[in-house]
Amino acid sequence: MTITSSSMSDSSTTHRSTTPSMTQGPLMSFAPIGRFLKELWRDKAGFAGFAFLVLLGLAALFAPLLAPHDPAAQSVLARLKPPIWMEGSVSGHLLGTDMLGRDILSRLLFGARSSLLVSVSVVALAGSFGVMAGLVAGYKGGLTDALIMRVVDVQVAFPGLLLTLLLVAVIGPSTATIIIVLAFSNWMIYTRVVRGIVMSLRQTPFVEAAEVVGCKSARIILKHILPNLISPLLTLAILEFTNIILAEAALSFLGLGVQPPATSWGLDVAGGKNYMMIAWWPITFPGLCIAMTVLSINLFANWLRVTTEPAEREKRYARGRAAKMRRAKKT
Amino acid sequence: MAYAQPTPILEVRDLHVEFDTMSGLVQGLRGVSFSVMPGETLALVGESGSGKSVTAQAVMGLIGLPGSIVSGDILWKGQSLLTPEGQKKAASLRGKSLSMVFQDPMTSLNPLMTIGAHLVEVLRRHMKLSKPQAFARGAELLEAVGITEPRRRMAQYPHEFSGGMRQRVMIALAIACEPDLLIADEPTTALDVTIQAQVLDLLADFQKSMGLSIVLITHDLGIVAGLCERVAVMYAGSIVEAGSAATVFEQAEHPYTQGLIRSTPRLDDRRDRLVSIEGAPPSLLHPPKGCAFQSRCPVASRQCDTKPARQVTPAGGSVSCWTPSLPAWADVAKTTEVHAR
Amino acid sequence: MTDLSNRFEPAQPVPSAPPILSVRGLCVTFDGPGEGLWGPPKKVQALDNITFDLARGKTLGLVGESGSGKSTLGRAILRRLPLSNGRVFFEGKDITAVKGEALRRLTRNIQLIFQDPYTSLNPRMKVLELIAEPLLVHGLVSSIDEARDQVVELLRLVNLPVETIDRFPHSFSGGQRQRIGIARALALKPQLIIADEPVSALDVSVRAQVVNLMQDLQQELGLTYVFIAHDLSVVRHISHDIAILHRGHMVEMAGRDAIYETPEHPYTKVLLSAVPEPDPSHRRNGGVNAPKTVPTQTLSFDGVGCRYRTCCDKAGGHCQREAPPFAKHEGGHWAACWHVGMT
Repeated sequence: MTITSSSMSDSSTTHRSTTPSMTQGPLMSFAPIGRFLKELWRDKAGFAGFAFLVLLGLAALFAPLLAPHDPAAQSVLARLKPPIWMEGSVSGHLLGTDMLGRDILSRLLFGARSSLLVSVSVVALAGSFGVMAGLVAGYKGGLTDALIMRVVDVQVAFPGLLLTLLLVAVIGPSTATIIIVLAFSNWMIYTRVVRGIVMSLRQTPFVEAAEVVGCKSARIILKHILPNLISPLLTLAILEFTNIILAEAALSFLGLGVQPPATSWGLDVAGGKNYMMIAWWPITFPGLCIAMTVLSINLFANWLRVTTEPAEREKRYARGRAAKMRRAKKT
Repeated sequence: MAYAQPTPILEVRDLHVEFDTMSGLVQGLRGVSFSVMPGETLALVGESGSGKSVTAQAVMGLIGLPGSIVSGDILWKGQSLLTPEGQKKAASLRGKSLSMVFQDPMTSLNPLMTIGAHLVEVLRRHMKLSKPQAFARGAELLEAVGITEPRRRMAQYPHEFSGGMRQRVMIALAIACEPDLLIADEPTTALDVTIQAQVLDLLADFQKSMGLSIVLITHDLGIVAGLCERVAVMYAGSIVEAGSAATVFEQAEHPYTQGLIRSTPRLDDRRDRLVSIEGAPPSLLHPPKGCAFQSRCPVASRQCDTKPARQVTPAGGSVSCWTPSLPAWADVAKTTEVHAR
Repeated sequence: MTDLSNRFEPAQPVPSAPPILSVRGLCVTFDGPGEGLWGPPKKVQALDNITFDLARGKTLGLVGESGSGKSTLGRAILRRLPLSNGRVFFEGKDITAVKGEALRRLTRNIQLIFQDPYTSLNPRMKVLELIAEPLLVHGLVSSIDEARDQVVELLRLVNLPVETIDRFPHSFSGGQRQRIGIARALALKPQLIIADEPVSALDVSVRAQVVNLMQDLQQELGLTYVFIAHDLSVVRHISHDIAILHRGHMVEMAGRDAIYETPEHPYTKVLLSAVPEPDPSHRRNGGVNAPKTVPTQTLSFDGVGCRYRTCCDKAGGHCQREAPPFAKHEGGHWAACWHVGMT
């Protein structure tokens, strides 16, 4: 019990402060981040996932500096040139070119931008709305709860793809549309999860204690309930992130998402599919990016889930220690 | 002595258990030794964190990660349970000759299985009874633990039983295989007083009729006095005093035991104030070098900076204290005996 | 409602000050499980016709087993539950219908100490925040840091080292956490404190610390306690009066020594005999009187007659027909039993 809460708060603070410091290398000696990285390093898969995500984030951020070409620049002469290590490649196009002669590497870098932009915005938008609705529903109960949850039920029951198609058709496809549409069809899961946790937290003595000393509802929700939601929400949001990346790719693939000349991995997969038989690279690289990102997120989320679960975290630590001792014995 | 000492049914020798946690190495047990004779009832008494439950888990082979037995030995009828062969033997003992009753009977029963199914499963597995035999024996057992209409009750699920009834079922399960030793870990802490009295009566009853040995683990000296012949008081991972219940309650040697007895409320006590042991037990992450009770002891002195060795008391018990039998709390008791109202 | 004026007379010969807390004919009903899946919920009477007075600076020990309604009574006095009948008066004012902001203000005068010090303190708040929170939410300080001096004072009051002010609850032992809970309850300088089994979750050795502290605080600050307990072992040392609850009914109430030395209701006697004594001469004779049937503590008991009759060995025909009134007997002893005074 004692280690529980400290480790929970540790992990959440360390996590929050990670991303900025990673971009500022020298600050890595900062204690909580050091501890975070040390613990992450023990789970090699989680570390790999995290490293890939950090690289991806950096690549997306500095895409204009890193990209060798303009991602939209076409060249009829350099159509469907293979990656650099293959015969018939053109120098300067590391991963080759697509059917319009655009540099695939540059497209991937810029594609990461739109994929990440859409996913982050959707998770933030859907998350904050969904969490708010869940908090109110769970804490107030009664009629408010019934109303909110019926709205959730109705929306969950309505086919998501149909709704998306409908909305896109009405508003017209664009990056902003796709963010709004995906947020609109993905907030319910947060509401459901949050409501469940809030309902059980309401029963905990420390929430009753807060009521007894005279706290108002707003304070109880924000000060006593919300902080206890951070760890489960963090894991949920990260897993949702993968869903959004896939959804964005699917919509762009269908031509309803990101519109040319902007790029997106999904759009590139769609473009490459017609030439799949004669040139594998225009479809493989963006597809690989999607798969790698989703995999990395899952590996990292898996680590994070254990880390925010104090008992699991303690067990993982003990397993690591035991394995180390066995190795030490052998040598 | 002319006659040979009988072999204890369970003997724990200088047991050390450590927990390798993220905050450091926690020394859960720091040299625990005791033995239980056939038909004897031993109480392990201590505060939370004193290591009494860890001791039970060690005997039951339930110490898992992050904990491990570092040194010491556990002997069952003279044979070690910690050697590779012993571990195999231990696995067959547990649940049969050596069984356990836990504090919370709800979590130890499968909510999807009827009470009857629990009993039949245990009886068929360990006693090799046929299904109808096991069923009949199960009904007998329920009757023996004071559950009326056992055959109807066997078709019911755990949630249909009250807390006290469930603990009776747990006892029935524990004695189903006619064990030699029963470890009861705070068996009545979750129960109402009137139910607690019934469950304790039940344990006393089986102890007599079956010649069962019982290790009762509790933080409440009150329930020890009525049930146990011998008492071992644990503090900060080791046993500080052991002896027969009569002598320990009459003239406790260790200041901690004295304080524990005095702080236990008595109904015939008209004092307005209870004696209290101020402070809290030390952290087992960095246990003190000297006597672990030093910081809370009213009669602690210089020599308590070194760890006191275990010594035998005139009454045949043992105590780890530099100044045993010194009345540690006498003056406190006197001043509080004044009737304020 | 029954006329209570003749049923409840002041226990002492007309105390000069009015009681700080008066409870009159208090009833609480819960919705129990319904008949089948869709049936209407069955009403369960959690508390039935509870009446008592509590004088300022005194302690009422409220004893009952699980299902007796003792915690419900505590919550009903705090006005956290709707009453189905009866009234609650605090300092002579009727607080039965108090709601909203007025109820929130009432928490300054009536506070609660929780049973479980492990779950009743928010694990993410430091001691300073925990103890200062009541002051902050009632507008007595404008920021947590402004309350620091008061919190230090409160820590001294409950014998906690001042250095602990910036620590989180998980670094404290059970007894220390309960002290934090007490300090938090005291922050608003309440006059009445409901202590809901404040020591039940603690080790026996630590219980004395907390009980003694509560007694000191009562003397120092003139507090009034309702001390809820599930057995009779600890309450003797702190209570002035003791009331016994059984299945939502008060079955006996008297001065504490009278309860222990001349218990009248059979249930009180059972409770007394069940308390384990730290004395090996009180050995369990195992089996000789181990009862074969268990009195169930369920709340759902309907029908006429005394609610205790099914577990009572004295129960006679009268007990089947009519419930005994909670009436006053000799020496200020209140009991609900037909056999009291008939020996």
